[in-house]
Amino acid sequence: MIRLLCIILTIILPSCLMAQGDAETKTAKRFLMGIGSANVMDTYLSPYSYKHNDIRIDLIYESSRFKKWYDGAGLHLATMENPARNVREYDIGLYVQSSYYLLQKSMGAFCVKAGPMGYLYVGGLYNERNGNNPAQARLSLMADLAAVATYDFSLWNKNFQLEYSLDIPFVGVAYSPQFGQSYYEQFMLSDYDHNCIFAHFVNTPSIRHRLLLNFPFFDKRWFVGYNGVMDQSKYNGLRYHSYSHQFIIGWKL
Amino acid sequence: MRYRLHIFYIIVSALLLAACVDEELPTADTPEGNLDALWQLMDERYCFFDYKKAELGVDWNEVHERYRKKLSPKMNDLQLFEVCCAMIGELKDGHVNLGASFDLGRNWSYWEDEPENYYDSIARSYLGHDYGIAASLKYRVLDDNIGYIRCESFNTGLGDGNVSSVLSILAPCNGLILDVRGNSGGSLTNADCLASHFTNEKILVGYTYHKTGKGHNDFSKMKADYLEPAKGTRWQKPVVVITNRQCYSATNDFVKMMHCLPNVTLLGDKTGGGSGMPFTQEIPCGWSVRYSAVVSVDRDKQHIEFGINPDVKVSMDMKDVMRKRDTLIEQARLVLHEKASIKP
Repeated sequence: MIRLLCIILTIILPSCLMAQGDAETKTAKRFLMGIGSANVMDTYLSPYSYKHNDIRIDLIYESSRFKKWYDGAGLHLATMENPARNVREYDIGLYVQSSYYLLQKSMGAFCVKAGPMGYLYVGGLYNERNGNNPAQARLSLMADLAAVATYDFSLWNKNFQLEYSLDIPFVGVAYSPQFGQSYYEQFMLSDYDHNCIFAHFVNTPSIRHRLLLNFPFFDKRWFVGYNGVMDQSKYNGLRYHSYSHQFIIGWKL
Repeated sequence: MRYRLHIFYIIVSALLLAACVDEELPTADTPEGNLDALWQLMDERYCFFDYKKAELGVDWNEVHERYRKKLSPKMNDLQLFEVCCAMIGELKDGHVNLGASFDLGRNWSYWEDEPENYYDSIARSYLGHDYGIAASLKYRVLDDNIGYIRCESFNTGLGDGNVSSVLSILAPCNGLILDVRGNSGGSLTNADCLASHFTNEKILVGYTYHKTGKGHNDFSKMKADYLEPAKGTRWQKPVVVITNRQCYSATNDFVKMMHCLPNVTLLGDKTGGGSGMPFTQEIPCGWSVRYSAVVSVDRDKQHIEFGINPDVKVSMDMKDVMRKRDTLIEQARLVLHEKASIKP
């Protein structure tokens, strides 16, 4: 497990060091906001998907350096109701990510980049009805596979860009309570029971992808498009998913 | 072209890997769907099936077959609720509840069918009007120099400061009565806090374990529970804990801890039990399902789900009731005077 952590840190740390080390490098920054649906299931809290009267909002900040390093941070807030529409859950999550696109290929207006990504996630899900299991904490540090494809084109003498990006969690560590383990046992009785999970693409079959149109408007470059989140996990006998389809809009900073 | 293929492979692989992690329980909001979901949810998550089979002869598969026959497609919510409650009531567990907007399904026979051994108006007469209140503790010094603390609930926050202050005030007393009758539980943290003021050393008080899978016997290893001494005032003299059948859940755990201490005598009736920490889930129609998920046993690894027997069994004497005397408090005073080797 320690070896695994070292591997993950070697992916994330160089990015942070580079960010401090080269202030002269020109960076491209952007801010994005997404709004859309929320569909969350966590069997520690309920066996059913909460996907009614739902909304999810994402706030995302991203920057790129050297055209190889891409950093990002995001916050999401979501709320949704159970199938019977009599209980509500609240979801909050914060992530920081850094990717290094070591594979790059340009073919005219078409460009493809791919590489590893470090992804740290901290979040929680709260069910307003449950007693001794009212909430679920989520914490993970993953090495993901990331790729982005861009296509530049012109229309009406303006430059446009179409961008598709993809992120697949590959391997890492994650926190999870055991199937029927209470937080009282974990934190008051210091009961450890496989709460640190070796997460990988089989027990965490997730995908996040985004399609953006980059266009000029009033001396600023804007982004509109689709953001899709399909986070899933199944370990310690607990099943989790968080799906969201969002309209996303943003601008270059 | 090579890279396009790479990207294509990544996308296809991702879509294949991202097989849906979805619901496993019945989702149909029908009488059958709801009853099956309730049965399966309990089957996978309830922690006392083997114990209840041994003690009560409950065969959960047979229970399912029996109650499924009672369903009909046209039954209304009240009728379905009645069938579902009867099904989970077979487990005779106060922590197993079905919650709807119009009712709370429960089996409270552990105290409803038993003598209460407590009269509120009589117990209050011992406190009088000038008793102290510290969080959930009401206390005073009785006229024979015995301290009396009434703890009606562990729901209200209780801190070391509260307990230390009360015990300091009662320190000159020759003994202490802790009356937890009617206390149906609350927070284990509050129960731990109170008990920790009655030990000078870290002692083993029991074990805890939880479900690790859907099988009836999928349990974690037993984790030893220790009671650690509080940092504030600690009581050194004899204590009598008065119990009745309504002492349940966190109070049952409190009595379990106190039972491990040398200066403590349990007096009254057997506690109600409830040694499983309850979790909450739901069924398709939105009714909440509460069930025991985490098992707590005593230091001899014996179940206390059906209660803890007192050291001194005492029931309320109706002659005492007529004279507005609480038999259990009076007996507790005698025990304390005897232990303290003083005459009443």
